[in-house]
Amino acid sequence: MNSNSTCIDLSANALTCTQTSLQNLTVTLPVVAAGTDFGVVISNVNNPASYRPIASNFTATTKTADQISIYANSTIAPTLINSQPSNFTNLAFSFANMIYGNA
Amino acid sequence: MRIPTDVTITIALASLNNTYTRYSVNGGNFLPGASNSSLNTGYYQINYTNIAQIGAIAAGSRIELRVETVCKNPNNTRIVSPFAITTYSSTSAIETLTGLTVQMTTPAVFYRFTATRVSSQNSAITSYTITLRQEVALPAGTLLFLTLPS
Repeated sequence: MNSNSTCIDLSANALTCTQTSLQNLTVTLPVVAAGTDFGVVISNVNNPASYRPIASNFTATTKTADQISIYANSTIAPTLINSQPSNFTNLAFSFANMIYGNA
Repeated sequence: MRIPTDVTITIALASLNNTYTRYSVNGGNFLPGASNSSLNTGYYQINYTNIAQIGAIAAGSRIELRVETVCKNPNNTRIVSPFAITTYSSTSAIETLTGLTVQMTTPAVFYRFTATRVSSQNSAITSYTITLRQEVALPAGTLLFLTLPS
């Protein structure tokens, strides 16, 4: 994530989220019905620089508003591997006019 | 016996009596225990009415009370109270034990947890979608703590 990261829910409603470090984020949730999908779409996240698989995990924890009690906690192993190279941000070349056969 | 409603009894209370409530005295066999139960504000009251029907219970005896297989744990790790136990004679209360609490030590797990992203290009700035699902409802203001890979 970077300092411009923002959060919306799965229905594109804005969520209050606080980035506590480059990897950690705290999101304030609306009411969530039992057994329904919920989540967050985080914008402005930097992809890894290479195809090398992501080496650490995603972790999610839901806590009461007072942060004292935990509802659920899980960790998943990453399955995300980049598949497209980045573009060079600047690509230039120069051409020297040479005569064939000359050193 | 009082059990806080944070512990959910998953069947109708009318079905609870005798089948799912049992007691044992001094390590003996567990016997059917309750003949009536009620739901009150904040707690279930389960009355084990036949514990001393067969005979007197000696001083210092150990009495175990069970509500079997139909209790669902609280949905978070908050300390839950009040549990309470009161013994009665045929005419009045004998002894009350209050202040009993329980606390879950293991959070539930999300039974859906996925992470997807828009772009798979090296170094791209993209959006990640984290989708979760858990068994219980969450009130507004619940906090979701996310850690993304470093």
